[in-house]
Amino acid sequence: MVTKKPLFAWVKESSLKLQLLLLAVIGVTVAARVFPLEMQKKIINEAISLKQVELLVLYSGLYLASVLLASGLKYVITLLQTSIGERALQQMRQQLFEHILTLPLGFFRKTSAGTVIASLVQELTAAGEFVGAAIAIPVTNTLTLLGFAAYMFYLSPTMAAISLALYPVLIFLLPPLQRRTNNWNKARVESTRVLSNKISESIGGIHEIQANGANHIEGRKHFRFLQDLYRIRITWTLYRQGVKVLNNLFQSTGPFLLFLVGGWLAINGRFDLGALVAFLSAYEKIYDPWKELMDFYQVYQDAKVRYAKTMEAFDVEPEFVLQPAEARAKQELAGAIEIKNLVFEVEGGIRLLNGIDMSLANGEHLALVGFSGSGKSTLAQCMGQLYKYTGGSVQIDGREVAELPKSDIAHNMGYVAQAPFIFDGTIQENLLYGVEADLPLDAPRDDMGRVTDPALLPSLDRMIEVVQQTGIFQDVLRFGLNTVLAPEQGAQAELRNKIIAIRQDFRNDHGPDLADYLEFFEEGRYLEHSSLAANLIFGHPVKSDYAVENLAKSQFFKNFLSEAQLRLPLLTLGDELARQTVDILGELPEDALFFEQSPMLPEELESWKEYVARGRIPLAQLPQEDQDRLLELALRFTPGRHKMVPFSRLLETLVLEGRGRFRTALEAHDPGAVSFYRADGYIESQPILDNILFGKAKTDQPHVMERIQQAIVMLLIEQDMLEAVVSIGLQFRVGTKGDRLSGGQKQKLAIARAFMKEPPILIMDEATSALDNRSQSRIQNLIETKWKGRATLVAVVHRLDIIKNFDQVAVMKAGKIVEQGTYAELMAKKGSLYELVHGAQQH
Amino acid sequence: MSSFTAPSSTNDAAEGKSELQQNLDRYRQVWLFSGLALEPLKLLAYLSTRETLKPGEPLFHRGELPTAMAVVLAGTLHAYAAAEAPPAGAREPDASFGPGDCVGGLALLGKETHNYTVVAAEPLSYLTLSREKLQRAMQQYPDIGLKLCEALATRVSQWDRSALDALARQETRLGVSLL
Repeated sequence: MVTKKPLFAWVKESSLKLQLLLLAVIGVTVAARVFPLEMQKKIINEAISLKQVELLVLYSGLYLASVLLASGLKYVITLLQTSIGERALQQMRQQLFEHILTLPLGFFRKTSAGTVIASLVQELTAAGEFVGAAIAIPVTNTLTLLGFAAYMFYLSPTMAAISLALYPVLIFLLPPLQRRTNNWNKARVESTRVLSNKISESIGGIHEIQANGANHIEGRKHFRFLQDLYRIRITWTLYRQGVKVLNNLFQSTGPFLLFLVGGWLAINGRFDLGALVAFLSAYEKIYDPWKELMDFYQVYQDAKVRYAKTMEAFDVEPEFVLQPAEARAKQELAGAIEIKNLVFEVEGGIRLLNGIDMSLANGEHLALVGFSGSGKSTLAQCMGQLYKYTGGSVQIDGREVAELPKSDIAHNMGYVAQAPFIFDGTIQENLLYGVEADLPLDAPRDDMGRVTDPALLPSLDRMIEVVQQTGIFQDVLRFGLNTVLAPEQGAQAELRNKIIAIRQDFRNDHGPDLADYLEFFEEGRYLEHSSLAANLIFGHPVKSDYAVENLAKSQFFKNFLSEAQLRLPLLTLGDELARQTVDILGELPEDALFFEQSPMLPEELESWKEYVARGRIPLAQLPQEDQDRLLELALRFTPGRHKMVPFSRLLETLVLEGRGRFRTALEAHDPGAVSFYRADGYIESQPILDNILFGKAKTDQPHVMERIQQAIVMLLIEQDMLEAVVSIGLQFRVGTKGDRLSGGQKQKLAIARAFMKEPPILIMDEATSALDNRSQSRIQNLIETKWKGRATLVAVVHRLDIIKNFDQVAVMKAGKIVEQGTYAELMAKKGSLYELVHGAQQH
Repeated sequence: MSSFTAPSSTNDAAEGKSELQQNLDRYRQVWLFSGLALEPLKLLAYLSTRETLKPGEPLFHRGELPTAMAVVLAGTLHAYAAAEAPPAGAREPDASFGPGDCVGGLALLGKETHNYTVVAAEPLSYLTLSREKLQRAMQQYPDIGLKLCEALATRVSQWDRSALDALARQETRLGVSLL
């Protein structure tokens, strides 16, 4: 298990080749570092004293060459070191992450995602850095140190002994000083915390302070804390600087001794001048490797502590094995479940499940009902191998669930959680999540991890079938209809023509009916549900210069705005939109849902916050860049959707007038740059739906959207286009955690994801709780017609109106089954179920 | 503005108030939101949209899961304890709601289905806030949940008291789950 691995194991495991290469480079580097000293000596003794210019040039050249070589090699060492370290870090992160994914669910109740993130992302970096440096730094610097020392002894043993004698003194003095510095630093942190608390208290009680005029009392309290902090900070600085000064002192007093002794020796002719210079250089240089070793010790300490803490935090055994010990095909189970005296006890001796007995033949359907907290979900999760029960047994086809590897369970089970999780990606990716996970580990995949062999995955028809059965079809269709076709989708020329054909039929068949809910693209009218830019250009840009995101930068367009007297009104509008949005959303996360009703994009919020913080500056005096941004924001303004600023009649009139002027001006300036809205042309910049409507829906209220969609579905079927649009909808990206889906859509998608696998066992934990009646009955029907007899179903149910046709109903109370039988039997008995049903009806 | 968009109060429009400000003014008078600080209330007002119903169109049906709350701006809503509303005028509604009233707020906090079918009795414009948006706002301002519960507790207690009074006068009181 990765958490048991000592830190040094990573050094041993790191690439042997790289480490050997590193050692070789280090050997050469040390030589290249000592060599210049010898050159120095020779330059002075041989070249300068003997006035030999040739030798001077030769030695200087050699000096330079070795210095260059040493620097170059140092760079190579750093590269190797980084590469080893990063590789180790990558391995550590990956192995730990994979380990964390296997940890028991109970572990994550106590450990937040934040802790896991901090551990994987921040805490391990120190360890990675250490692994990279573990060989390079100590070997290089010890060797360099020894090299310099040896060279010094070679020059003059006496002087070498004198100068190196200082170091033990340093070793004796420094650690206690450092310890005190550390202690005072701790005191400083603590004192700062106390001061922060004080300030926080004062701010929290500001009402009281101002109401009592007690500013001076709080001021005095605050000052007392400041005084403490002052004293501590001064002492801390004294020690901290003391360490520095001491180091420097040794560094600079060394030469004093050398001058004195060396000078005396030189005067007496027992030491030549060149050797003295070389000696001084060596002494100065010996400090660097020394310091690097000291720093490395710090890195090691830090890495050791953080690594141990991180690994300790995740040092938990997984509850289940992932794969069978020896490779074999996955078990095919029939789905008969037998539970005997099942107990699930958690910390504190609380029994969430307390002696459950039951048996389900394969294909039988069981509803688990009871109050919240009675253990229904826990029971379902124990059957699904999500929790490891502490007593008794759960067997599927006679095999103990706790012993089966995860791969077998996942292969035979579809699980729909109470709050299903949807991953960032497309609908299709989420739909196939379970199927893909069940593929063999060695299934061929591309660089992005996508399965390359389509034969391994369900066909489009099969996906559409499941999408239809689970009732998420309407939603997927809507996503498809709301897609703007990409221009490069060339095969879709036909698609575009069909859409225009549908547009005509829609107008004829449903136009009058739905007119109230729609806003058609009409020449003489302001479109409240289209952007201001769309209202001005009233067409879609053929040239990208006229795309909304580029319009504000186009000189032609800017000139036009000034002429049409629109520039200042638009700047003002943009300014107001920015200020209002920042006021409401400034402190909130960049959640797409919050930004639906503002023309600002989530990722722009930060820069607009800075803009607003600058205060009000006359708009015409703003830098050009800001003016362009304001214009862009204003151009996105859609009065039907963005309600934070009033939309004045004046602006409406100006824009409507501008529409005609823009067309005239553009046709003179750049004919064909924009294709104006025509009832018989496809509008590239608009989604499929708006192309069919030749307009926009005024509301996204479900009952309205449903009517519009019903009208369109028939027309799509007539043109044989339904599948094409649905397959486009399957590519809709659901956003982080499925943010762009509603609760109901998420549930339907999760059910579809489980059904897609066609498993022999289905576990549904309040799987339809967020669905409307119609969707719920649809799924209920599907379960009864398609799955009864084919898959064993365990459903945790909150709404009791759907359990009548289950084969068995079990009523749970405080971890026990108090009643079990068919719905009719239990109701006739007038026991717990009867009470539950009638209790529920009495509200 | 098109004829379909909700009519805004002419005074407000004349003052140049944005729809957001008008929504905020409304919400400040809604009992469910009493006690909310200005910042979260502004967010709720911003996330709300104005919608309309034609006479006879349903806001929701009995048995449906609550998906949104509504605050009536103009017009009247009738509530019937039945799966479908009876034809207009066939019988007295079990409860009715006019401008300023809030419908379906309590339901958003729980998991229970609606006990009533609520339809527009005359052209209706209302402000609506979906469960999704309310929940997302609550994640940002956890205080919202607490204040809504406080407001509900107050309201239920008041309701009970008035029911006791009504009992003394032998009237019936229905529709508490519509709060």
